[in-house]
Amino acid sequence: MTNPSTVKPADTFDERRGNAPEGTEYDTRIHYISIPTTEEELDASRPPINSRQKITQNSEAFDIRNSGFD
Amino acid sequence: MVAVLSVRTDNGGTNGSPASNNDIDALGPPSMQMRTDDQAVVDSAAPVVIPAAGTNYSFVKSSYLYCDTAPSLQINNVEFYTDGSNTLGTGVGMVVGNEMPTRNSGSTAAYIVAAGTVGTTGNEMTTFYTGITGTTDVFTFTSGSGKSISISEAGSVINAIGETTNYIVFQLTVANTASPIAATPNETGTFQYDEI
Repeated sequence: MTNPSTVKPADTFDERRGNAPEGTEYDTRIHYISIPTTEEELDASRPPINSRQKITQNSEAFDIRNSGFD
Repeated sequence: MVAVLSVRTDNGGTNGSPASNNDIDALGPPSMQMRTDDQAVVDSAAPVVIPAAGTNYSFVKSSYLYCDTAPSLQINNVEFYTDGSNTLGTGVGMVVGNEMPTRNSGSTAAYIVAAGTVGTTGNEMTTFYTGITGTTDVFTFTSGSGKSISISEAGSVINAIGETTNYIVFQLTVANTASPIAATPNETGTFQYDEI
């Protein structure tokens, strides 16, 4: 069995120029990505509601008045 | 739904039980007049008397933001600020209490009735407003560097009609260097908040 620590990703060396070190083994395993297909899986893959909402910055201004000074 | 908030003040009554809450938006444009009585009106009555020495004050305003129409989710990160430039005149300033006595949709227990001598001066807020131990010049708070306003509703957010911020207590200060005048130019105060 191949020792995982010696397995190099295919793009680590410039094998296109044929200068990969002799004896290099390439990771040829197939990696699967899980794509949600059911409604439940889609819900589970969504971020929490709070982070999906748009935050707007609003304000309420008012006049600061005075009735004078005697 | 976009929330609708109003700036309000509590007036009169007794400590812990204001007689009325007043929507200052109704004093169009929204206006908070600093005066030497405890009335939520705008007129030429009740000016602050310039002292021979030291400082006189307006009566305090126990103000807060009130939710008239609820937001879709919530309101928080409330801040108060001004334009940073005091144009109230020589010897005239305005301060805000450092602490914000608790007010929410279920309680006004921390409310303290404005006190002073009607027509002359209010009492300085730290001498009678329980829970307020210091004040800060409002003009030190500017956009991007405002005073953070606390909320004592569930979750420390406003998300329903009738919910409010805590009390933000304002007071005008008039030193003996001020000059008699009918009224000086208005300033603008702004409450800013995040809404979801």
